Order: sequence, then structure tokens, then C-alpha cells
Amino acid sequence: MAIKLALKIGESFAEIRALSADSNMGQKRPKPLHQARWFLPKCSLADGLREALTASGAQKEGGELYIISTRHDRALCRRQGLAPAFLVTAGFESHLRVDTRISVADSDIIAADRVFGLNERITATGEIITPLKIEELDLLAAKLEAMKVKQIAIGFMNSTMNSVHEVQAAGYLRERGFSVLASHTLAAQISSPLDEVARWRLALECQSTAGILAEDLTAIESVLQETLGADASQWQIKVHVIGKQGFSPLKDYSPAAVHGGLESALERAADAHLTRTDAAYLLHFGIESFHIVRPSSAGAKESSLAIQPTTLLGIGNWGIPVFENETRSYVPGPMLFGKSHQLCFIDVLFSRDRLTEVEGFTPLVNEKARARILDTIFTLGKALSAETGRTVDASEITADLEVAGIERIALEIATAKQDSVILLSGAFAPSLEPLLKLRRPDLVFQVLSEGAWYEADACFQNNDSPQAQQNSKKRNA
Amino acid sequence: MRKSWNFSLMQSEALATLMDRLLEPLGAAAFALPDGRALHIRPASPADLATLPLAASLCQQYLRLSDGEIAILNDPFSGGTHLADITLVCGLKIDSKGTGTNADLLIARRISMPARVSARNHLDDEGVRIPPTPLYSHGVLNKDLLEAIATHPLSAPGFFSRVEAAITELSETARIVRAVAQDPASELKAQNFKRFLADSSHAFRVLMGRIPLGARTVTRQLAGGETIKLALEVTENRILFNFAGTEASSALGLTEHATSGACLAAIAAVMCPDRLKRGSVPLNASAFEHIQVSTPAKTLLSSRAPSGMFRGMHQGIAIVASLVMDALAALNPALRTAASAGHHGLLQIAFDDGRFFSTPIAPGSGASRDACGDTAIADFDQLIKNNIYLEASEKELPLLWLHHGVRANSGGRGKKAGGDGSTLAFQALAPARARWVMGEQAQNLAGSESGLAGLPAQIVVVRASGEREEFAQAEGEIALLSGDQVHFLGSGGGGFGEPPQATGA
Repeated sequence: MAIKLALKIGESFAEIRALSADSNMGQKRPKPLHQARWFLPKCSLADGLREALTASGAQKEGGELYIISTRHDRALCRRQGLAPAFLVTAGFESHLRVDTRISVADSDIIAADRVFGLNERITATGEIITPLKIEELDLLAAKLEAMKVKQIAIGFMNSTMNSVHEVQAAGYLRERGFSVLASHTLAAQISSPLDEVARWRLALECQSTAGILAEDLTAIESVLQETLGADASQWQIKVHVIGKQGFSPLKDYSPAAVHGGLESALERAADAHLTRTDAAYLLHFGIESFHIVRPSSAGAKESSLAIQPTTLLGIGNWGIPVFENETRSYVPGPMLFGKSHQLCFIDVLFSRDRLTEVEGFTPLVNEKARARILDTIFTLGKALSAETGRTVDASEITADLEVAGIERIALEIATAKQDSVILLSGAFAPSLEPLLKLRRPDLVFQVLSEGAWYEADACFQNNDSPQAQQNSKKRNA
Repeated sequence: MRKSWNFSLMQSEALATLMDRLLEPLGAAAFALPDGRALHIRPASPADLATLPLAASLCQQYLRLSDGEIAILNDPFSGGTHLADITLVCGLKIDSKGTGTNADLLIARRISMPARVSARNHLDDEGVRIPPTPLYSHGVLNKDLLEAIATHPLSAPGFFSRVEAAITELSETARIVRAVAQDPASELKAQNFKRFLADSSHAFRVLMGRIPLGARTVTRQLAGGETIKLALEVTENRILFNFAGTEASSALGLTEHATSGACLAAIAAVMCPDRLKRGSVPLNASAFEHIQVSTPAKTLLSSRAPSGMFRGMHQGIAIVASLVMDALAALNPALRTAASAGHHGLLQIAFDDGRFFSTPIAPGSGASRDACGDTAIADFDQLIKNNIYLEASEKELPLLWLHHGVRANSGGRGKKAGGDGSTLAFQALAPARARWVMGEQAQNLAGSESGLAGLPAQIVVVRASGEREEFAQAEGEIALLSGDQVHFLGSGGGGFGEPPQATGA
């Protein structure tokens, strides 16, 4: 009996689920052979995977392992990626810096001292008007070696019309031992058209987090080597990495394609669910992120919700506590883990006793944190307390904040017609379902039976089916 | 509904967040009541603050928009700004209990097309003037009208498709707004608007605590010799801006509403210096309750047709806003900032075969006591996109880009450095005329408190023959031949405080 394993690597949590290979998305599933969710600071990715391979029987039976990672995408948001060297057509070294599509977070991966202009130029028709000089690359390579820079992104003007200069530069630098990503290759991997800003930015992002992704994939490979033998071609387990464009074999994954894996997997999984149930939307309340997936003629479309489990609370300009647009990570943790001093949405839900049991998460909750959370909320409301002239009960503020958080979700489903079915998935779906029912009694909320493991389950959605391929094409168009 | 200690304020804040999120896909846009009171404004430029609600109310007054109907305008004297900014106003009926079919809520949305300016500062040279006109009714777009405007020689390239797409997006937002309003628990209800504006008023008054009290009069002389005079008076509950003594100008003109927007934008910048959070200052009718702007007739701040509007809506707005900042800094020196152009420059290239290209060029902003100036961000035009799609424009136009990015070291040095401006350069591959507008503030970028001045804006033309011409005029026009190069160097912001001494040998 071959086994299918789905591994989701998040910023702070990993989860794995093993099913018999006969199970299909869209059918009632048999009991999973194994499932686990663990906090990465306490248990390494390798240890969790090792245990899953043994417990599920995959080590003996063989099968397939699907991997989604959001860790490298989150690293970009947290400005934890490395600034790679960026080689660009001379004259356009700071083109990205003045483009308003580049956010402050993006600008962190474009370090001014690592951007180098090269004297080359290709026109919009692909004609070479200034040839690339290898001597110039030679000098640059020496400089980069001295700077101990390993990752390089290349973005030359009109490289999608004629890639010869990017190919030459990438080849030369690879020979000198650098890890190089040429931007024209991304245009080939991403089927939607990319202008130079999008192409160059994606190249920088991929190179910025390549180390983080490689670290995880190397850890996975090591576990597989240790369990299945050193020769990967003999492995009985085939490994796929999931990204925006679908599945890539572990040995041959493309840097661009593994970004946006979770979003892509949610869309693919929702395609099947939304069609089957005729539901209006799928709301996904995962441990680390909340999403909405809407059906459209071009297949399901994912977007992030305006409230996230770790959205921070602050005092707004109106002088009252409000949810900000910033999220934090689970390390050191929300206040309910007993380690942080910054309140977030999940702390509000905890203080209102809304959180149901969540495997791998509940054991981390520190009951003693409740009093501290209420103290902090009271302090936040102190200014208004003085203004209203009466002592404010912290529980009143938490109730109002809970309403404010749920309102941000309600807005996203505002267009749902009466009696529409809204599917809920993710580890926190059972916690949020009663609150949503209260807010929109006219809608039907249905927590998916496999909902708590939906992120992992989404990996199983067959990318090779004609429907999935068609939707993928439509989405990218 | 449970009423707790501060639930009204929380509801109102939630409503503001809700409206902001609903308008987000539209860019510069506003919710307004039919009487012209704004409920929520998301501006791209200070001029939008008062003109978007005015556009909404005039459309309703003249056209009586029903639910889903959309009108178009760009007339600066009917709630528009300059002719390249197209305003669409959509009627919505959200109160199902209300009688009649007229809209009870309006969305005004503004889209910016490539701007045209001419040497003679005449409105007719800047584009096609559109008064409030019905465009979309009962699901049908008046394509004949749109086509007629689009085929006018002064109409912006891509006018038809941009407006058509904007109408689709506006209709989609209207559909979502209607659905939100029908949700029984939603805050977006006609009966909540009065309370919302009262709460906004309260919040605005609290933020006014950050504005220094007192009165000051400041004046500024423009390059043409005209004077702008502002008497500013800040009391506990009200801020008065009296521009009596301001003269008329043949070179620069803006409307009363645009002037009000500039005054409010300067106040909001002091209330919330963090530009990323500035959106949380209540920008609606309640803000205008607390400010009173007096612009005497026949001055440059209350221009009439046929005066051109482009310069006023960019340079004029920045001048008014910086004059307000000067007056506030005179009341409290801690608010002093170094000079900056305050607004984007503009470069337009008209090829002899009729193809046209226009792009804004961002200056650097001035430094303040607490912060360095921003790179390539105009103080008062923050949301204007100065993105250039290099490869796409090379495909469509006979030009070759030579450079685009930051003008390094153009910000003045100081304890806090001024922001660097942006710069671009291209080579014309066919005969064309290039016209630029930098604005007079882009030439005088003084530092503050011993900070050094930013570099002024400059145009350099390198002819195919190798001959070099330099221009420092606030605006001008030149003929280009194939092979000529144009370099536009945007201005940097002034530095603040004495620059640190250079270290080393």
C-alpha cells in the first residue's frame, strides 16, 4: 500500500499528514495513517519528518511526499532574507528604488552597496547595441568574492526579448561558484507576463530566501537519505515541492515556482471543494495565516484576510485600541504563550475563551497568561477610561475587540447571499465558526471534516488533472 | 446591540476602516452624502480632499443619480482638479426604507491620465473639458459619448479603455457596498452617519491638540512677483486660514476647494507625521467643520476659466501647503522642516507622429528635526505613482531609456539629510518635442538650522552632435531630433541641522 504524505512547513509550525495513496481529495477520507503538528523551535523539521516516515509506514511502503513551505515567503515579510548581489543594466541600478510598487519590506532585499551596473544593452526588439564584456564580469566576480556574497540575481533590460547577456553572465558566474538566478528564466516559469520591475523583484526575492528554502529541503533530503538510502534514484518515495505553478520534483524545483505554494495549494483544493459543494467561499483559518478563497470563472482565487491570528493591537489615532496592519510571528509567541508583551488577535480570542483544542498549539498555551492579557488590555483602554469618567472592565474592551476582528472577516463575505454556504477550514476554524454564525446568522457555515489539516491536505490536490491544469492556465492568464 | 463604555467610538472607527477597505481598490476615492458632506476620503493628492465631495454633490444636484448610475467630469470648476484627472461619480441607494429613487450615498473616484501642459497656461490646451455628464445608466455605457471624447486630439492616450475599466471597477465596488449595507449588522447604514461624523469630529478635535495655538501671518512671493499671503489663526476648536491680500497670477491658478484641500493636508501632516499612518486622521466632513478657509475672489487661489489648472493643482497646492507649514513652524519652531519641491515635476514627450508620453518625476522631501527626508516622495503628492514601465514604453515609443532611478546625493546634507530626488534620461529615436514643468519650488531647496540645501531640478540636453545645453527654468520646451538625449534631474530636499564633520584623513 503506497502512502501519500503532505508536509507543510510554516514560519513556526510544521504539520504532516499521511494517507493511503488510494484516498482522493473530494471523497470521504479514511482515517489518516499519521498526522502531527509541531512547534519548530521545540522540535526540528527533521525530527518531525523522521517520526512521520516511521509512524505512517511510508518508510517501508513507499509513496509520495508533497511539500509546501511558507517559511521563505514569511522571511521576506519579516525582512529576514539575505540581500543578494543584483546585477543590472548600467543606468538602472536604482530603478527599483523609485518604483512605488516596491514596498519598504521589499527595499530591504535591495541593498544599495550590492547593486552593480554592467555596461550592456539590448533593445526592445532584441538587438544588441552594447555587448556584454566578460572582463567587466571578471572584476565584479573578484569584488563579490571579497564581499563574500554567494547569491546573485541578474536583471538586464529586455532580457525576455533576447536573453543572451543574462545567459552569458549567469554561466560565467556559476563557473566561479556563485548561485545565480537570471530574471529571464522567471518569465519562462511564470506564465503571466512580467514587466522588468516584477521580474527583477522576483529574482531578488528568490535569491534572498534561497538559503532558507534550501536549508529546509536539505534537512528533508538528509532524513530521506538516512531512512531510504543514499541513492535518491532508488527511493521509493517521490518528493514534490509545491509552488505557484504547481509541483516540481525536489531535485529540479525552480526558485520562482516554490514561492506562493500555500496560496496555490489552497486554490487548487478549493477548486474541488467549491465546485463540489456549490459553496460561495472558503475561509481558511490556519495556525499562522487566515485566507479567503473565492470561486471565479478562472478558478478559485486566494487572498489574505484583513485580520490574521497574530495581527497586533495598538492605539489608533482615534485614541482607542485597534488592530494594526502588522502581524508578528509565534516566536517568542503571542501573549498566550506567556512570553510576549504584545497583544494580538489570538490573545483576544483566548481571553474570551473562544479557542478550542488545537493539536500542537494548545499545549503551548500558558493559562497564567490570561491575567496578564487582561491587564494589558486594561492599560490600553486607560486613556479612554479617564475620558469616560468610569472604571472600565477589561472584559468589555476584549468583547469590543473581538467584534472588531470578526467585522474584518464579515466584510469579506458581505456579498454572500442569504443561505449561501461558507466552507471553513484550518486549525482555528472550529473556534471561529460560532462567532461567524452569530455575526451572519443568514449564512450557512460548514467546517470541513478535514479542515484542521487543510493546509496539509491541500497538498494532495492532484495537479495533473485536466481541470487543475485548465484552472491553473486561466489563473495565470 | 450591546452598548459598552466606548462602543460608539469603536463602531465609528470600524466604519472608517470598513469604508477605507471598500474604497481601497479604487485608489483616490471618497464616500459622500448627496449634500456634499464627505464620509471618508482616500486622497492621492491634497486637491482630492475637498474636490471629490464637491464633484459628488454637484453630480447629484444636476443629474439626480439613481442607484448604479455613473457620471463623469473633469471640469475644475465642477469638482475636478485639472483636465487629465477624470472623476467618476456613482450613485447608490443603500437605505431601503427611504422614499424615491435618488441615490442616498455617492462614491466619487478619480483616475489620472497622462497630463498635458502648454506654455500659455490655458485650460483649453490641457485637454477636453467635461462638465458633470451621465455616462452609465441601467447597465449601459454611453459609448458614443466616451468615443467622442476619446477621439479628441487632446484626449489622453488610452482614454476609452481606462475609463471603461474604471467604470467596471466602480460598479463592482458599488455592488459590494450595497451588499455590505444590506447586512443587518453592518455599520454602513444611513442612520449611523450622523453619529459617525460626530465621533469623527471628536477624534479630529483630539488630534488638533497637536497643532500649536496662536496666530501668524506669512507671505511668499512667487517667481512672477505675485504674493500669497496667509493669516493663520489656531484656536482650541477651529483653524482659520485667511488668504486676504493674495494676488492674481497669470501663471498659476487653483480653485477654492483645492486650496482648502491643501490647508487640510498640511494640518493632517502635523497631526500625524508618520505618513504610513496618516490615513487614520479622520478625513471627512468633520475635518472641514474645524477649518475655515477664506480665499478672496480674483486671486490665484480662486481662479476662473480659462486659466490653466495643471500648474496650480501641483505647484500651487504644494506652495499653499508649505506656506501653512511655515506659519505653523512660526508658532512652534519644532515643526520646522527643510525645503522641498513638495510636488512632482512633469516631463511630456510629443513625437512628431502623434505618439505622446508623459511621466511625473518625484523630488526628494525635506528633512525635519526628527527624520531624514524621503527619497523620491513628494511631501504633498505622496500617492502619485512615478513608475515608468521601461521595457513596455521602449516597445511602444521611439525612445531608448538611458537611466532611471535615484539622483544620488541630491538631498542636502545635514544632521538629518534631505531626501534624494529621482532622475531619468532617454535618447529620442525620432523627432519630438519635450516639455517639462519642475515648479519654482524645485529651484530653492534651502536647508534648515544649518542644514545644506538640496540640489535644484535641472534639464540637460545632449544633442546628437555632442553639444550640451542646460536648463534651470521652472518649465520649458525643446525640439528634439533623433539621437538627442534628455536628462531630467529631479530636485533633492533640504537637510536639517548642521551636517556631521567628515571623518578620516
